[in-house]
This record gives sequence, structure tokens and C-alpha cells, in this order.
Amino acid sequence: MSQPSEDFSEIRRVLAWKRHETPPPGYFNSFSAKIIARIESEQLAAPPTWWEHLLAPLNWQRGLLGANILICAGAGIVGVAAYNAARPVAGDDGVALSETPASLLYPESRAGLRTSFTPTGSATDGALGLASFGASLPGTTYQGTNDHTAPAGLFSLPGMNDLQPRFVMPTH
Amino acid sequence: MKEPSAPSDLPAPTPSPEQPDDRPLVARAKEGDLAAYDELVRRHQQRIYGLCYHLTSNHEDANDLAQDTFMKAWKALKGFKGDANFYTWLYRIAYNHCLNHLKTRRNRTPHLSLDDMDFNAEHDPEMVALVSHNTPRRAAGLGELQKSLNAALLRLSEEHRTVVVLHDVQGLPHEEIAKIMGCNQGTVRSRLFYARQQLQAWLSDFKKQS
Repeated sequence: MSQPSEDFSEIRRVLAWKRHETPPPGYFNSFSAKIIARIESEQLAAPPTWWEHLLAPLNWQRGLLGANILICAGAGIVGVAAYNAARPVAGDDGVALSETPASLLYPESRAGLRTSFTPTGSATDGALGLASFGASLPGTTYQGTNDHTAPAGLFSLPGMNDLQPRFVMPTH
Repeated sequence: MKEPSAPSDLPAPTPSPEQPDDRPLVARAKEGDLAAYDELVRRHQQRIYGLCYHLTSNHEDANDLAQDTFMKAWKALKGFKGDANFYTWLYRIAYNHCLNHLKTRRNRTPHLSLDDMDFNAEHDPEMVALVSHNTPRRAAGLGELQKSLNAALLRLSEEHRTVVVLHDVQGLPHEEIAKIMGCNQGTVRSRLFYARQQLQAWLSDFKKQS
């Protein structure tokens, strides 16, 4: 075996000829297509989860931002709705509207006031506009007629029209 | 066998991959753009195939290894940070994959035929000077040279063979080879020197026998 020399020019020339060792003609024409086909077949074989599908158009950062916005908006809506449901709403006469139907229907339920309405009525009732409420001026006994009952449908409680408010002022 | 002529200028090795910037394509491919990845494959398929082939000296193995390399690269693309060139990263995947393959199939006999050499090899003046001018003998000489060279390469370790293939066959600089193989440039140079020594000895024996 000959002594190896440090002049490698000849072997480098021979090695460079290895570049001529190529696959059959046309091999590389379809190589990339095969790679893409394999990738697509693997993607089809493993469908994404619903979560991956949902976030697929977004990168994770935008998805996280959107989720945060939705959560804050939802919390705000729920909070406003809860506040509105709990807060009482006042009417024009200062009386809570929620009390009005009961106070009209059941005058006895109003604190400190005993009412008894006997429908005998008088001409002044209509002028004062009080007939429909069965109220009476001090010193008078209001006796309304059946016409002074609440208009039909004003209060939708069942049996309402059968209930005649009684408003009796103490006589002196 | 005819004595070769005095060494002339060495044939220029395949230039290192100075090609259009891969970064826009890589960015699109990371988002799942298959058309962009297809273009990346087209740009680098010959070099990756060449590395796989020169390490294994087998066309079938090279085909499988090259395809597996690009499949692995696609799956790992999201982890590619861009701190190295894309082709350097791709080469590294191919190199590691070939190493694993060679370790499991260490005793495989190289399977090669003259058809694996393209037309230019037979008419290369340097090659002609090395083998007989007689056409049938020249063809036989080329075949013998090819088989003998590949057998000599397979006797080298995978690391030495890789350095020779990347530098003397594919023309990569020492710096890029060091990044691909995960070693420093000094190691690349020493491996290259040793591998050339071994192959030079083989060539001398081959010429004596021819």
C-alpha cells in the first residue's frame, strides 16, 4: 500500500465526479408532489379537534385576546341585567309601581289606612276623578255605584272585577 | 491503465446554496401554506437527495430517506426559529436521519449500476484521462471506478463520509458543515483530512490494479 500524500487534488477530483451520480431522468419532476401528497394524506387521516378547527384561522394570541373580550363583555351584560332586575323603579306619584296594584286591589293592605268603599257614588266623584279609586274626601261618605269599579282589564288579576273596594271614613 | 494527466485546476465543486431567501416561504409554510412548502422542497430536493445517496450509495434508500427528511421537516417546521439558514436546518435533519438508518442497516451492500451516472460523467475529460479510451473498456472502467469509490466511502465512518460528501462532493464550506454536524470547524477539518488520506490510499491501489 503506497504512502498517502497530503496532496489530495486527485482524490478531490474523483470525488467531485460523484456529482454525476444522479437518479433516473425525471425523478425530481414529481418528488415535491409526492411530499405534498403525503402531507395531505396525513392531514386527512387525523382530522382536527373542534377546538383546533375553531382556532385554526387565528393564531393563539389573537384567539386569546378575542376570548378575553368576549368574557368581559358577557360579564358586563350579566351584571347590568342583574342590577336592573333588583332595583325598584319609582312611578310619578312617588309610590312604587309594584305596590300600586295591591294597594288598589286591597286597600286594607296599605299601612295605616282602612278603606271601605260602598259604591253609592255622588256627582262630585267624577269631577274629582277619584271614583275609580274608591277614595273619599274627609267628612264625606262616598257611596259609589257599580260604575265606579275599576275599568275592565285595568288590573288583570283573576276575579278582580268581583272585588269591590270599600272605603269608609270614620264619621264624627 | 493509462497514467492520468498532471492535475489541472480542480473541477469547481457545486457551489454552496446561494439561492433566493427562504424566509418568506418558511414563514408562509409555518402557517400551513403547502404551496410555499412545495417551493421549498423544489429548491432543496436535489441537495438533500444527494446527501442521502452519497451516504448510502443506494438509490432506493436515498429516495426513502429524502422523502422522510422533508416529512420530518414539515412536522418540525413550527419549531424552526430561523437562527440558522433553512437549508442548514434541513441538512441537519437529513444527516441525523441517515445516521439512524445506517446504524440499523450497517451491513447493507451498496446497490449501484452504471445507469446512475449521468451522461456528462462518461465525457468528462478528467474521467476519460483516468480510464481507458476504448469505449467498452472505458465504460467498464467507469463502472469499476464508481463501485470501488463508493465501496471505499462506505468503509469510512459515517462522520468521515459525511464530511467528504458535504465538502468535496456538494461544496459546502467548513462553517456550514460544522453547524450541520453539530461540531466545531477544527473537527470538520481533521475529519476531512483523515478521510482524504484513506481515499487517496484507495485510489493509489485502484490505479495499480487497473
